[in-house]
Amino acid sequence: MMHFRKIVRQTIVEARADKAYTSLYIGGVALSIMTVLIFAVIYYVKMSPLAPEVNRDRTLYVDLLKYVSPDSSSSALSALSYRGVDEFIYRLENVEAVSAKTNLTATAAVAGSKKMHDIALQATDDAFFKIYDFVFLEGMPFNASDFQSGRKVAVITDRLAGKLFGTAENATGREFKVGDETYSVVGVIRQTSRLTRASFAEAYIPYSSQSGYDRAGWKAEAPYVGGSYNAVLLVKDSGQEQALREEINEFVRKANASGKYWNIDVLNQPRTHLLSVFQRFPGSDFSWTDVVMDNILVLLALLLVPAINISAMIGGRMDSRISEMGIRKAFGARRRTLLSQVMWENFIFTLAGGVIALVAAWVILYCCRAWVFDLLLSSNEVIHDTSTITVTGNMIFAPVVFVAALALCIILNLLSAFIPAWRSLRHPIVSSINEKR
Amino acid sequence: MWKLIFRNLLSRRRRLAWLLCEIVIVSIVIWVFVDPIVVNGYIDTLPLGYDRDRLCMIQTARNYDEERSDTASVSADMRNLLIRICNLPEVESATIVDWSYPDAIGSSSIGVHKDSVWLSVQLMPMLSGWNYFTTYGIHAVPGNNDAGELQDMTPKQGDIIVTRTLAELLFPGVNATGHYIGEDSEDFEVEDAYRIAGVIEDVRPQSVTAESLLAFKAYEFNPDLCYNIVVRLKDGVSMPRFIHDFKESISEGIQSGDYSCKDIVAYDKLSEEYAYGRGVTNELRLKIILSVFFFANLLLGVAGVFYLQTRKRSEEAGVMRSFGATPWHIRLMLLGEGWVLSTIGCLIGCLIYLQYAVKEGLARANGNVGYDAYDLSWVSNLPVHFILVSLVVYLLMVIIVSIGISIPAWRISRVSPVEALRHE
Repeated sequence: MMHFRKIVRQTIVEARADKAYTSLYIGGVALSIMTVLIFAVIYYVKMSPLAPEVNRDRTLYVDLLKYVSPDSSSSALSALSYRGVDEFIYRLENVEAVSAKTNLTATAAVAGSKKMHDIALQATDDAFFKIYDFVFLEGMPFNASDFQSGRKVAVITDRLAGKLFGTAENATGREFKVGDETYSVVGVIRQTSRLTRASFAEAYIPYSSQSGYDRAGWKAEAPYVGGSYNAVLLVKDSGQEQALREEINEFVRKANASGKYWNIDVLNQPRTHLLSVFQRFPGSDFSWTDVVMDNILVLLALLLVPAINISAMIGGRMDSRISEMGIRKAFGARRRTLLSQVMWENFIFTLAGGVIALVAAWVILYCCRAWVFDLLLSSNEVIHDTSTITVTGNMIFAPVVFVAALALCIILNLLSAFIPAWRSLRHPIVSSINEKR
Repeated sequence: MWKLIFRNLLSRRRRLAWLLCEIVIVSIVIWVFVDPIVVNGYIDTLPLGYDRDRLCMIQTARNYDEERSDTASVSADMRNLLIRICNLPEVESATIVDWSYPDAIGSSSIGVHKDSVWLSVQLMPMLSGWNYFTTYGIHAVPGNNDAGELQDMTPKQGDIIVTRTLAELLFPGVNATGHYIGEDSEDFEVEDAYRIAGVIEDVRPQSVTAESLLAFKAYEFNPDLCYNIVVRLKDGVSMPRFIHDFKESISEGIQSGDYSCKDIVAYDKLSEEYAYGRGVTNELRLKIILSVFFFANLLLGVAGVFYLQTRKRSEEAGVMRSFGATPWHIRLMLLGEGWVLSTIGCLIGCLIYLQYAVKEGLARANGNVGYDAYDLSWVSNLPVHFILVSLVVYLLMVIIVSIGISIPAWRISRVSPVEALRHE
């Protein structure tokens, strides 16, 4: 303990003696660790179960379908039509829940008021609320009966309720206009973050309440495309997931064998949530090996280049401390002791850089939240109202972030400090003492 | 002076080996990031083939009325809505589009054989008689039917209008109008083939790729499809003002029969959203951020290494000053060392990356892999592409290294000869 206090005191003195060196060292460390931490948090937010998408590990997506003409000369690729949802998606049996949805932007207003609000709207079905875990502050979600009858009802967020009615309380039963249609509020939920993008919206309505929701697909030979629906499937476990894939393959095989339509290509869907984070869009070239290798290479580059920097600086620094080391060796200090001291000194600097990096990473993630979380995404949804991108504590203050920061400090310290320190301490005592400053 | 620079570098080779190693690694890494940035910058300079500046898109909604579901009634409703919009004083012309249009998320394509290469040609629907080409500002190639005639042509099964590039690719040196795609192939059948009814100037179907392999297929109004209205504003009209005023009008209701207007957005914004949705924007952002990260590290590394040499080099600089060297001469010498290091490091880094590039290829401007063989631009020419981007990388490295050295160099050059010689 005394020894450690001595090291800390000596490190502080050394730091004050050469402020420029200390700044360059800590700055280099902070930059590197901050960048890696930002990437780590981005991946964490994208992949981990976060409310209301608490079932991300069991959620699958069907976003696009492709039709290819029998002679393979033409093809069509788009989201699902209503017929695709009704005749294909809704008839799947190996699912715990299945929902179709379409993302829209709309204007919301209270009747008689000229104030219009541009909102993100999800037109979906009643099963949507079984897949995602929303916190209902009032009321309840619209049910199957509402959906089947196409009732103009809506679940809105407390934020939208505040904008429309001035308060989120007692909003249930009140009416507002979506476009030029009047909807009645049946439930109020806590606003979710746009970072949970699959479930995000400011209002949720039954898609059957919209005119033209069941219009025909692109053409008679390709009836399941040409719409705007995406499907979300919840499975119980991996066994059911496998059964679901087999069921879909069988459906496609039968549809293509009938010869009635162009050939369907499901583009290796449904996709897991993890795959949807990394793959640009269904059917695009993708390899897990490439993803892992790319990320390892990026991580190495992000750590290696600063490590080389720091090594060069430590090497230069050790040159000026050779005579000091020589004198200490002459008084009996062992190489292991000196090496350990140098490593601890550098670790303290690295730790200081790590703390700065952690704080800087949080600040950047919060201030640049409008676009930074999309940086590593494979496909990007356009966002019009960035105020809905909220970053919560459990997103950025996750324990894994702290552990990652500490691990990075240790790795960087080992990578950068060990070799130059070890090489420098190999000098014989006499030449060390005689070394010119 | 160069002799002195090389001698200095040689005498400090052990200390500077780390720095050289870092410059090599950063050169390789920066190459990966700068290449797509340069290529995308080039794509942005290419003409789109349609005039996007004064275009905006109005999203419509349809209230399905069973009593008015016949094609004639629905078409009349849409036509009336279009006329109403065209009658606005700010509007020059308008047309309607379905789910496939320039920079739309959805697309359809046909496959075309050229030599032994399979090319994917985007097939874009065009409503006949609805001012499509006029509104988009698309022009016909001289010597063919003009755009006004082409946009009103009677839709015939198999008739398409192709871009100049596609026409010249498939039928080099001849007027492609009247020819059939694949007419040279053994299994050619007229009934199944696409006939070229007209040729237009190049139009890029996606603003994020360079190629213009596009064909328009005319068809009649289909009441089962969902349409949006594309509007061209008159010269001098403020787009933001028009959009703001139109949104207010939407809230009061702009309707014709089943159709009503729902929202309006500038076409530029649509294209931005398309690029964002395709991941292009974020890919570029990420590469720029990582480039800045590596340059910052290089800057810190260079500044750190040269800073640590300040004391030793100050004595050396003092001796040089006592022999008549000026501070500028000393700074130039130090910068020269940096330039030599960055030249050697960059050269090694680029040559290492070349081995990877020859195998994996460089950043591409075309979405169509097969078209690269016919693309005459520098992007598809490996030697030219490689040299150009290497020069950009080299320039950036020299700038960063110069900035990193400048402060320690300035400190070293300012030492007085008396102070330096006292230590000596």
